[in-house]
Order: sequence, then structure tokens, then C-alpha cells
Amino acid sequence: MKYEVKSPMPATVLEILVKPGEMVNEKTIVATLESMKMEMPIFADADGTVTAVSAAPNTTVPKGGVLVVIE
Amino acid sequence: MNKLDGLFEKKSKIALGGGQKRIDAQHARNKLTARERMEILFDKGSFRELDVFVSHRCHNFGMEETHAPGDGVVTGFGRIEGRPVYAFAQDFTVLGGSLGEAHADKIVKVQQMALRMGAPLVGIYDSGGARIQEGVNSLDGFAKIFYQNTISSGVIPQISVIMGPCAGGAVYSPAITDFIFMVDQTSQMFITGPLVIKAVTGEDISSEALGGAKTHNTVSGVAQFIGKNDKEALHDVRKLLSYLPSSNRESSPCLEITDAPDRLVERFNGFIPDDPKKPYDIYEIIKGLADHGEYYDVMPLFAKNIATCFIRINGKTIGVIANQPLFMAGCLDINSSDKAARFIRFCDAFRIPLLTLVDVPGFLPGVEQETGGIIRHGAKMLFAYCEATVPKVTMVLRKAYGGAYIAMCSRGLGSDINFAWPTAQIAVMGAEGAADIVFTKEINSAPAPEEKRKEKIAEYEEKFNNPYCAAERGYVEDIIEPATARQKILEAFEMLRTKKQELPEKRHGNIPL
Repeated sequence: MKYEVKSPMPATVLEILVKPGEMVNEKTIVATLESMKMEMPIFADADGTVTAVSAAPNTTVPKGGVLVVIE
Repeated sequence: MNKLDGLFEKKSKIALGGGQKRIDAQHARNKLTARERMEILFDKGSFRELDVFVSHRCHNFGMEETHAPGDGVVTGFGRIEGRPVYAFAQDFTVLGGSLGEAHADKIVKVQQMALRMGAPLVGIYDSGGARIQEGVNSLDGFAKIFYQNTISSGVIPQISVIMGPCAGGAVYSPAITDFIFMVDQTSQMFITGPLVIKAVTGEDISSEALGGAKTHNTVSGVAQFIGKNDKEALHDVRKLLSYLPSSNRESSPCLEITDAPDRLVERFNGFIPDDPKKPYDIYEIIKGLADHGEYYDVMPLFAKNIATCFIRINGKTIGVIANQPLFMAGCLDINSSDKAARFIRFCDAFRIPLLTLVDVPGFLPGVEQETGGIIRHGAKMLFAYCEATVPKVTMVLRKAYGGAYIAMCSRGLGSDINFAWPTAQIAVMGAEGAADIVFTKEINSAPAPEEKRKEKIAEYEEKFNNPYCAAERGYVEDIIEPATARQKILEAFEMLRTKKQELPEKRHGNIPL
């Protein structure tokens, strides 16, 4: 099953912490975003393998913007 | 056959509900029967059924030939952790748990008993909806149940457990109650189902995606809790009830004090990151404050930027409202305001004191929030805090900026005791934004504007981004060593136990809904 990890709010991407092919579980932090002058860890929230990284550091993502895809 | 054997035979037949075949079908769907659910919900062997022999009196469409044991609902009373509780459970094995006149009358009777005796009511929903053969009688039945739910609100805790379909008008009984539990994959709630939606709007959606436990716990905010299966959900109901009083006439049960009242939490000193951008998990603070680190999270999957949970301090129940810096920067928005407001009002109705933990960067900016009505949603939270007359203690951990500082139960909203940690920053806004506004001219006319800006930010931080300005004016009663937080909060609530506050006489306020 495909699971998209999305940004919960408009934010700047600071770091993407996983690469395609990497195994993750619910508690893995896949990215760090910044919004409202706060860093925000983004958890995978699903177990699986990263199949795509859809956001790049120093870009902005809207609310619901896809960060990585897990299958 | 003697009369006693006759009674036994009748009762054992009724106890089988819709019969073994339907019971097996219920089990095959990973669902327990109504009576099995009652056995798990109540203390072992304490459940007593009422109106066992009630049956319908419908003569439409061949219903006179249809036997419906208990008319599709099991009602009664028993004990949960020794305290009386009333309950009803719809029996899906009997005519699909459909609601007719007699079915509704049984529910209303047990609702009235719970209200009169001042004990919690648990409703277990598993029903195909209105019994069509009974026409408008079944609609009136629903209406009477909703009425009883409403007038009982704030008098006795009402908990709904959705363990099967609950669709159409039927959803408004649980929706009026205090808490909704749902079971993952086997429960659905919606006003109109996938077929009607497809016909009217053309949208394709499964009933699980439309009204399943995950949807209502994470997206809609209709339900507060999710259970993996029937058993887990019912055990969670028991656990929730352990924190609550039986009615608004009583206080929550006080457990034996087994966690030292003067326990220091050494790890709190230095816990807050020096870098104001760095998040931390607010549950680590909540666990440190609570007796034995135990907490019961309400709506754990919805609006995670605010935590609402029950804990015990010195054996007594406290309702905690806390910003969660780990999620969405811990900001306030539409959903977190709604979540907090509802929790605050529940606690106030049932004499549960409120502890507010503050680390909030502000209200979430954005077109979506403004046009979505953050003004009226945020207002609910302020209204709820102001109106609450239970003891209120507020502790500022770090950021407390602007309107969000006010909204998180500041002194002006009526909090009784306000503590701040030395890491607190109680100000109109963060240093960067404030420096840009206050010192615009100075920064722009300086030979090196960027350096001047940095200097002014530092100046503002030094002057305002601390708890001392607020404490000098008495908005904060004390600035405390974080390790003593549990002790100070415990003492404050003990001191506030005799608090008595009357609001002006009125029929009721008009909370912005």
C-alpha cells in the first residue's frame, strides 16, 4: 500500500532525512520542516520502504504537500 | 413443565438474541454480541438486565409474526470499579439492531434512571437504523433519546461506544454525549452513506473511509478514541470512567496517595532547549507531573498541536491542556481551539480542576484559518476558560506570545495561580518580529541595518522575552525552579480545593458555536 507523508502546515523544508530504498517505521523522522520559527520533526507514521522523495531542502511546501512516499 | 422451568426456558431463549446463526455471523465480523460486551464493560458478574421481556407491538408488513427478543437492545445497570453505571447495548443479531418504539422506550428508561440516580451512562451502538415498519414511531423514539442525552449533559458523564453501523439520524445520540469511542474497521458513523453520496454528488468513497474510526479520530474530530477491537475499546471505557465522578454532584474518586507529594522532577531543570526553534515532547512534562507518570489522553489523534488529558495529582483527577511543540510548532488553530474548548467545558461541568501548560508561538496564520473562522473557533476556547469556575492553574514553560498567551488561560482569563519557568518568554510577540516593528526607523537609518537589527533583537530579548516583566505586574505569581513544578502545582491545587466562585445569574451564556 502506498502512503504519502504530508506536511501538516505550510512550511520550509530544512532537511530530508531518508533516501529511496530505506526502510522506515512509524517512529522514523523522515524530514525536518520549519514553520512559525519552530523546527518540526515529521514522522513516517507508517512502516515500509521509501520509494520516492518529493521535496527538497530550502523549498517551501504547502499544507498537505507530499514530502516522501512510503510503500 | 413447572413454572420455574418455563421462566428459565424463556430467559435462555431471549439470551440468545437473534439465535446462534446470527451470533456466529456477528463473531465472524470480529464483533461481540451485546451481552458479551456488557460482560466485559462491567465488573465481573455485576451486570443486571432490565426489561428482558419487552417486545414490540407493531402489526405492519407482517411484523406481528416477527419475534424480536428484547426488541433488539439490552439495557441494565451494574458496577465499574465498584461504582454504579447504567448502560444500553444495541443487539445487531435481532432485526439488525433496528430501532423501533419499544427499543427506544427501553433506552429512554435506562437514560432516565442514570440521570435520576446520578450515575454515568454508557451507550453501545450497533444498529441498522430506524425500523422502517414502525414508521414515525421509530423517529419519535430517536428524538426522545436525543432529548434525554441533552438534558443529562453536564449532569452525568455520557460515553458512547460505536461498535457497528450508526447511520442517519441515529448518529446524533452519540454526537450529543461527552465522549465517542469507535472500533477500528468494524464501526462507521455517517449521516448519509456511500450509496446516497454517489447518487447525489457522484463521489465514490468506501464506508470505512467515509465514516470509519480512523476518519472520525483523525480528520473530522467526531470521535475521541479508537480501539483495535471490542475488548480493547471497552477496557478503555472502564479506564476513562476511573478518572470521572459519577455525576456533577460528586467529585472524582480520590485514589490512595502512593506518589510522594514533594517528589522533585530533577530532569525538568534544563529540559527546555536553549534554542527557541527546537521542539520537545510535551508528554514528557505531563508524565513528570502526574502521579506515577500515568495519563489518559483525550483525542490523541486529532489536533495533535494541543494535548488534552486526564492525570492524577495527589490522587485526584486533573484535566491538562498543553501545547505540543512537537506538532505544528504547538500553535493554536481551528481544530486545537475546538478540542481544548470542549475538554475545558467537560472538566468544568464535572468539577475537574484545570492545569494549563503553555509553550505557544501564536495562532496559525493563513487564509485557510481566517476564512475557516479561527475567530469564532478561538473564541470558544477563551469563552470556555473564562466561564470555568473550577480551580485553574497555569504554568508557562517557554513561549507565551500575544493572543495565544491570553487564550492559554492567562491570569486575566481567570486562572487562579500562574507559574512560569525561568525559560518563559511572556511577550506580545517574538523578538525578531517585535524588533522589526518597534525599531523600524533606527534599523533602516543605521549605516549597517542588519547589524543594528541584530542588536535591537538582542535588546528586546533582554528586556521583554522573559517571565520577569509579567511577574513584576503580578500576572505571574511565581517563577519557579522547574524541578519543583509537581510540588508547586500539587500545593496550588490543594490550596484551591475550597475555591468558590459564582457567575452572575443567567439562563445560560451564549458560547460562540
